[in-house]
Amino acid sequence: MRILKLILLNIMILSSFAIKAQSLESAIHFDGRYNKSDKAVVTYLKGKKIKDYNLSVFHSIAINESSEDVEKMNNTILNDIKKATQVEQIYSQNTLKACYMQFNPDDKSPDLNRFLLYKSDNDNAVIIYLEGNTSLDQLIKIFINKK
Amino acid sequence: MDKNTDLKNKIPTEEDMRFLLEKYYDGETSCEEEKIIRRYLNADNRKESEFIPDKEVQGYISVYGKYKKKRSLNHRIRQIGSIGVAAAVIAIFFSVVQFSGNEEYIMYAHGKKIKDKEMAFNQMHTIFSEFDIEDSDFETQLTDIFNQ
Repeated sequence: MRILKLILLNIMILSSFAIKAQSLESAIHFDGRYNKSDKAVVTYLKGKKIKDYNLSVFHSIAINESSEDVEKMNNTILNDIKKATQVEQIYSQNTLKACYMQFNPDDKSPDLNRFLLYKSDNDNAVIIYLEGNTSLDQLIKIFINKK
Repeated sequence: MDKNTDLKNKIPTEEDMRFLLEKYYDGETSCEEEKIIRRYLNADNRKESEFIPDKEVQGYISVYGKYKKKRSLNHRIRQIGSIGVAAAVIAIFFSVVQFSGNEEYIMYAHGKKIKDKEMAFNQMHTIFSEFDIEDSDFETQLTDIFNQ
């Protein structure tokens, strides 16, 4: 009985550490499935290093030469666009080529906005998930239109 | 008249007590009858009383009852204490995990794990530069959108 109580307590605590990107369909790409892929570069940063940019989480996946993965990413991104509070997207010949999205904070981190940045080109793609006390405009200004 | 009913309404005699105690040791007494036994034995202060062994039994039962109650309370306190300690240990463990998790960096390049904070940080900038908008047509369009 005591062991059961401890297990239940553990489950309750562990569930509070669930992935924050869960409500986004693109969250499936960030579950570690690309970590061992020879066609991907996965980068995860959290904490002090990115605090200066008002970010708390940076998680990116760059896919090379895998049209199958690019298609999967495209599909989830197209669904997440509908949930975004701010979207910047660009199409070329009716194909989504780039997209920047901002989402409302989730219940677990009500102070942190969530972002998805995506770019694809044939069989290459880059997807970035960000969390931070910042805005899409700020991120674009700092990282993308910095020159 | 039934002897049991009769006993409730009068002061019990020694004979009544013998009858009741016999019933008691046979496990057939009611709560009311046990109260009568306890009352009688508490009041019986005679040194040569034939009920002295019964008084001792009652005394033992009474002490054991209190001890049992105390033991059960101690057991309960220990039980709650151990659950509390376990919860505290788990909470401390997760606090430590969370604290140490304040800074994390993981990079996998083509299936290989790289534990280099600087490299991961540089990779972040490289990745962002992928979104840099200068060369291609759609990037020019993107610049236009953001500059609106």
